[in-house]
Amino acid sequence: MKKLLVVGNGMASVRFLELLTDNPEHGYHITVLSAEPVPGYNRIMLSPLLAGDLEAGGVLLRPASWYRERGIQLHCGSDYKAVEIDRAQHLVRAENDGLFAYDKLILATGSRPFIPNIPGSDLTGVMGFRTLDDVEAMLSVAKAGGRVVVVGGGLLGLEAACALQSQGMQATVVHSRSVLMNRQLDLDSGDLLLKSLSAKGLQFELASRTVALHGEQGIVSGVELSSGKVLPADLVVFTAGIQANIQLMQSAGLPCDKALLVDGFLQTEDSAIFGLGECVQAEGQTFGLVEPVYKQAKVLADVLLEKDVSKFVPAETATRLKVTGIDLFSLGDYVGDSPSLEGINDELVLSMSSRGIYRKLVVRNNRLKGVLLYGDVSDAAWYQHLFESGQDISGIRDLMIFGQAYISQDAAEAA
Amino acid sequence: MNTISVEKSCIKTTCAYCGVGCGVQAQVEDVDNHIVKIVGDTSHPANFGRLCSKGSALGDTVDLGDRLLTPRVDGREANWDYALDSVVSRLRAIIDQHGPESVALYGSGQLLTEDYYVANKLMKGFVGSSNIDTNSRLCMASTVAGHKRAFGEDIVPGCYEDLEQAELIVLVGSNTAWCHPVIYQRLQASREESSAKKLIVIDPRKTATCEGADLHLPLKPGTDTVLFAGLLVWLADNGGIDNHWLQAHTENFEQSLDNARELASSLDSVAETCGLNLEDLRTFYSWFLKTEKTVTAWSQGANQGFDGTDRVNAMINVHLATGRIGKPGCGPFSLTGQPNAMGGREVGGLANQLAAHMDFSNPDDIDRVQRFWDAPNMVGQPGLTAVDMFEAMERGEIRFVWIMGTNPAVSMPDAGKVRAALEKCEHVVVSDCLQNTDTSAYADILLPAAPWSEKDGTVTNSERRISRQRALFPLAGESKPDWWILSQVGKRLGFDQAFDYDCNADVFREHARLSAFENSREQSFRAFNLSGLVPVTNEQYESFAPQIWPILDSLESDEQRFFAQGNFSTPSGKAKFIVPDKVAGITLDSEFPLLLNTGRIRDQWHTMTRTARAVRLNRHISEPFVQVNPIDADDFKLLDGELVEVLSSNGRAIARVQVDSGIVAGQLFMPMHWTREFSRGGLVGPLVHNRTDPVSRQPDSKATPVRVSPYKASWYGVLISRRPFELPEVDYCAAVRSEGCWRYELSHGDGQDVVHQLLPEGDVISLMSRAGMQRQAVVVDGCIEVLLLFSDKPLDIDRQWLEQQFQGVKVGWKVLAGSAGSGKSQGPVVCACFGVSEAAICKGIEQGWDSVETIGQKLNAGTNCGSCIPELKRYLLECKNKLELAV
Repeated sequence: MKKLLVVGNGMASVRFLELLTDNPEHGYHITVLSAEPVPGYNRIMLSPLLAGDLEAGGVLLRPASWYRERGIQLHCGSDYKAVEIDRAQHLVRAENDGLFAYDKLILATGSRPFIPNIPGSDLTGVMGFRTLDDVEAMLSVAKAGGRVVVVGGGLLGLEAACALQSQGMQATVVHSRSVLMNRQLDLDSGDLLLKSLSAKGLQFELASRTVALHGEQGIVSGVELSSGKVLPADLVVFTAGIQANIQLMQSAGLPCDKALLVDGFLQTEDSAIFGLGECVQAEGQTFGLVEPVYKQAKVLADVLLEKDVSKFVPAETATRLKVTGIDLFSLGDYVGDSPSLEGINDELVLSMSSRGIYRKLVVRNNRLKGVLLYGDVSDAAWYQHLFESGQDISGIRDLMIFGQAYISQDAAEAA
Repeated sequence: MNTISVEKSCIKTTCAYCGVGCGVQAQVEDVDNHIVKIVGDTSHPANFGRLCSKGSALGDTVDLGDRLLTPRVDGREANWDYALDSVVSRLRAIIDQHGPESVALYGSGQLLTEDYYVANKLMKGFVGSSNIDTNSRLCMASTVAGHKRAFGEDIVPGCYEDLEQAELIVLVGSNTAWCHPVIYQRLQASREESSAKKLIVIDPRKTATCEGADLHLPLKPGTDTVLFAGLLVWLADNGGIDNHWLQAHTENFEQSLDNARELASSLDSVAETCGLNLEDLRTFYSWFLKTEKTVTAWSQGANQGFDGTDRVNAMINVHLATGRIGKPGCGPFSLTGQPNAMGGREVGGLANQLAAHMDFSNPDDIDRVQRFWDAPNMVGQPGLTAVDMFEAMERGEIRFVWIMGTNPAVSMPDAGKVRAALEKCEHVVVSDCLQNTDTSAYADILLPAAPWSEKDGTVTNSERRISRQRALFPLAGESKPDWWILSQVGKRLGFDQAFDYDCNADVFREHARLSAFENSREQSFRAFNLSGLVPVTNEQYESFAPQIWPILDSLESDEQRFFAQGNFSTPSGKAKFIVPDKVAGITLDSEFPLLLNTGRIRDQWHTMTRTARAVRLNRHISEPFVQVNPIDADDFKLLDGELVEVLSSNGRAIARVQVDSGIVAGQLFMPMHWTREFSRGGLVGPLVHNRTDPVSRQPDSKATPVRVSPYKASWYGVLISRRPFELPEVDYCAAVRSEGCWRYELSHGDGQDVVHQLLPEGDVISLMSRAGMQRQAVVVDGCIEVLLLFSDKPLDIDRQWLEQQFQGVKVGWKVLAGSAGSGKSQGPVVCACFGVSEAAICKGIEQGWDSVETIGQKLNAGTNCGSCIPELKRYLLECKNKLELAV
C-alpha cells in the first residue's frame, strides 16, 4: 500500500480524510501529524465554546476512535509538529525527531492569527483566537472580569467580543473600517449590526487603527489607537486577519507566495506533494472560509482516488454566517452603488430596521450580481442558484427579493 | 355597571334601494349600537322572503359613522329653531326680492310619500313655485310621460305576478339580474317551472341578465323606437292585431301605423337600423306575435334616452295593438329604479305634475288642488325640470335651492356644470342623513334628516303596492323626518293651519283625501284613488299591510290590474297609439367616435353613500371601470386592467379598463356610482352630455359621444390604511372601504409626491429600487397601520390578502410583497352574501362541480339573493371551455 502522510488535522484535513476513507478501497496507509493536542475540531464552534454555550468535547469533529476504525494513524501534540520535509527521501521529520515516510504528502498546516508587529505585541494577554488553547487562555482572564479589546471587527472578532462580554468582560471592538464585517456587509446592514451589538453593551472604535499596546510588568494594560486615545485593556485579542503557516514549505523549497502555490488539483510543484486548506494559494487567491476549503478537500480526495475530477476553481463564494445569533448571507457585488442604471441595472433594498432585517439585491445587465441578506437568510440557496446560473431575471426582478415563493412558475420559466 | 340596553324586537319594513320594494324583517339586536339583523319578509308580496346582496347588507349600513346629527348653518352647529328660522328668512328674502320662481326644491325617490306630499304642497301651494323636481327625473320621467300620453294617466297596468305568469318576457334596457335582482329571481324561478317560457333581452350590452336569456338582441343605442315600430308593422302584416279590442279601446292606430311603416319599412331596414341579425329579429317578432301572455318590461335603458318617451310609447303600442294589457301575464311594465319614485309620482312631486295625478293642463285641476289645500300662492304653470333647474341656477335665475336626500353633484349629467351651479347659488339647503356627500359640500344650511333606518311612513313600489317603511331605531341626535322639517318651514312661513300635522298618519290621510277629492268621471277622473284609506286610524296606519292601489271603498285592494276592459283615464276613455314620424339620431364624429353607456353595478346603489359602507358590497367590483370591446381596445391601444382617459365635450374621466366582448364595438360602459367621496377621476357624471328627451326632459345618460385613450400615468400607487384619508388631489383615486381598513388606488400624471406626506409615525418597512419601485409599510406594535406601494406600472398585487393583513394580525417584512406568496389571488368576491371568491368557485368547477346547484351546496354561493347566479353560470361555461381546450 502507498503511504499517505497528512500534515495538519484542521477542518480541511478532517473533511479530506472522511471523503477519502468513505471509499474502503482507497488503497492508502494513512498517517496524520497534528501539532495540536486533540484530534481535529470545528473552529467555527470555538465562539459558542468561548461564550460558555458549549462543552469543550462538543467541538471535536471526530473522536480518536474514528481514526482507528478508519485505519488512520493519528499522532497529536507538539511533539508531532512537522518541522522538515526531505523531498528527496520522501520523509517528514517531526519535532520529536520521528521520521515519517510518504509516497504522497498532504500539507494542511492551516494559518495563524495575524498579530502586527507593533510595540507591546509580545505582552502577556495579547493573543489570537484560533485554537482551543486560545479559548482556555481567554477564559482564564475573563474570570476576573475586566476589559477586553478586540482588534478586528470581522466575524471572528465580533464573536469573540460577544462571547467575552457574556463572560462578564466589557468588550470594545477596534475596527479599521467604518463598516463592521465589511467583507460581508454594506453600510446599512453594518449599521444594523452595530446597533444590535451596541444594544448588548459592546463598545466600538470604528475607522481606528491600533498603533501600540501598553503594558505593566509584562502584562498588557491598554491599546493605543491612531487617534491617540488609549483604551484600558486586561486582554487584547487580534482577529484582524490570518497568515498561512508556510515555514515548513518554504524551508523545503516549495514555491510559495502568500501561501503554498498549488494547481487546480491541489498539487504543488513536487508531484508527490499536495496542499490543502488555508495554507494554499490557487489562482492568486487564499482561502479563509470553510466552503472553498471543503471543495478543495473533495477535489483532493478524488485526485488521490484517481477518479475523474474537475479542477478546483476558486469561485466567488457566498458567505453564509451566523454572527451572535444574526443570520447573514452575502455573495458577489453586494455593495452595488452602480453609477449607471440604463434600465438593466438596478438595486433593490429592503429594510425593516425594527426587526433587524435588511436585504439587498444588485442587478447588472438583468443578471443577479450581488446578494446581501441580513437577519433573514431564507431563499439564500435560490439566490445563489440565480447568481451562479447567470440567468436573465428581468421578469422576476420586482418580487424576487421576497423569495422563490413569490415568483410564479410562469415568470420563473420566462426568466 | 353595564348599562348597554339590549332590546330585541322584530320590525317589518321595506328595503331602501330599488323599486322592487322588497319587504324586510328587521330584528333589532342592540338599539344603542344600531345592530340589526336583516332578513327578507316572507309575507311581503314583492319578494316573499328573498333579498338581494344589497338588501341583505342593509344592516351593515346603519351605523352612526359619518352621520349628520345636528343642523349646521354657515358651517356652525345650530339648534333646530335657529336653523329653521335661517331657512325661512333666507327663503323669504329671495322670494321678496326675486319672486318665488327663483326658488327650487330638488328631492329624491327615496323620500317617503308623506315627505313628498308635504314638499309638493309647500312648493306648489305656499311658496308658489313649481320648481320642484327630483332625481326621479333621471330615472322614470320618460315612463311617466309615456304612460300619460297613452293611458291619460301615469299608471303601471300590471303587477309582479304577470312576470311569473307570462310565457314571453321581453326585457328592454334592463340589467334586471343586477338592478332588480329579486324580480329576476322570481322570473327565473317561474321559468324553471315552465320550460316553454321564453326570455328575450334587448340591450346594447351583454349583461348578466343575458346569461339566462333565450335571445339577446344587442341593438344599436337609440334604436328602440324603430325596433318596436317594426314590431307593430309586423303584427299588422301578420294578423297579430286584436281588431275588436283595438276598435273599442284605442285611438290613433292608423296614423301611428303609417308612421311606423315610415320608420320601419321592412324587416331588413329594421335589422339594418338597429344593427341586428335578421334571423334574431325575426325570432323576436314571431315569438311576440304568437305568444299571448307577453310582458314587455323596461328600465333606464329605455327611459334615459333622447327619445325615451317615444320608446315607452313604442312598447306600449304593441300591447295595445294586441290587447295584451291588464290581463294576467300580459302588459307593458316599467321597472322603477328607486324605492319610492312611484310614491313621488302619486303625490305629483315633479315639476310638470300638479298633485295626486292631476295636471297643469287642466285649469280645473289647478283650481281643485288650490281649494283642497286652501293655498294662497297656487302655481299655474309647470316648473323647471332637473337639467333645466340646474342650468337656470348656473344662469343665476335660481337663487335658493333645497336639496333633499340626493346627490345631484354626482348623479346629474354634465355634473361639472351642476357643481358650478351649486357653487354659484346664493342659498343651498341640504337635508341629508350624512354629513359628507359631494352635494353637502356646497350647502350653507345642512339639516339632519332621518335615514332609512329611522324614518317612518309609506312607499310605493313598481307594481303600485303601498307598503309601510318603519323606523328600526329612534331618531339619532337631532335628526328629524323630512315631512316634519318641511312642515316646520311651512308654519314659519305663516301657514300654521296648512302644515299642522301631528304625525305622519295625518299627512297620509290628507294625501289619501286629495286622491279621492272630486275624483269621478264627471269631475276629474284619476285611477289613482286611495279613498278607502281616507278613514284610516293611526293604529290601522301603523299596522298597514302592503296593498296595491287603487284602494277604493275599504282597506282591501279592489283589483290588481288596469285596462283589461279599457276605461283609460283619457277624456275619451280610450288609449292612444303614439309613433313619431321620425326618430332623431345619434351623430358621431372623428373627435368623439364612441358612445358611452352608463348604469348600475350589482352591489352598489346610486352614489354609494350607503352601500359603500357595507364592506361586503365593495368586494364584487371595487373600482370605477370602463368596459371596452376587444376590437376597440386594440384600436385605441388599451390594456385590460390599466387606466384610460375618457373624454367627452363636457368633461373627462379616468377609469380602469375592462376588456369585455359583452360590450359591442363602438360603445363603452361606465358605472354611475362613484363620487368625489370615493374617487378622483372615476366619476361618470362630468362626461355625460345634457341632451334630454324633449317630452319628459329626462336626460339621455346612455349614449354620450366620447373618445378614449390610454392614460399616461407617471406612477401607480396603492395605499391601504387603518384610518381613512382625505382623498388626495391626483388624476385618479378610488377609495374602497374594507374590513378594518381603507384602500386607495392612486395614479397621477406627473411625478409630484402627494402621498408620502400622509404616512404616520411608526416602524417603517421599506423596499426601494433604483428603477423607481417604492413600497413602504408603517407598523405599530407589529400590526400594520399603513401600506403604500408605488410603481411606474400597474401593481400586480393581491389586494384582498393585503387587506386581510389589517385584521389584527402581526405582519413581517414580506407584507411588502403584496401577496401571500405561493398562494394565488382569490380574485373578486362573486357571491357577496356569503363572501365566496372567484378562486374558490373555479377550483370547485375544475374538480368537477357541474351546476349552479352543486356550487350552492358546496359553498352556499348563489343560495341567498341569487344575483350572482348568472355569473356562476358564466364561470361554469368558461371553466368547462378551458378544460375542454386543455384536453
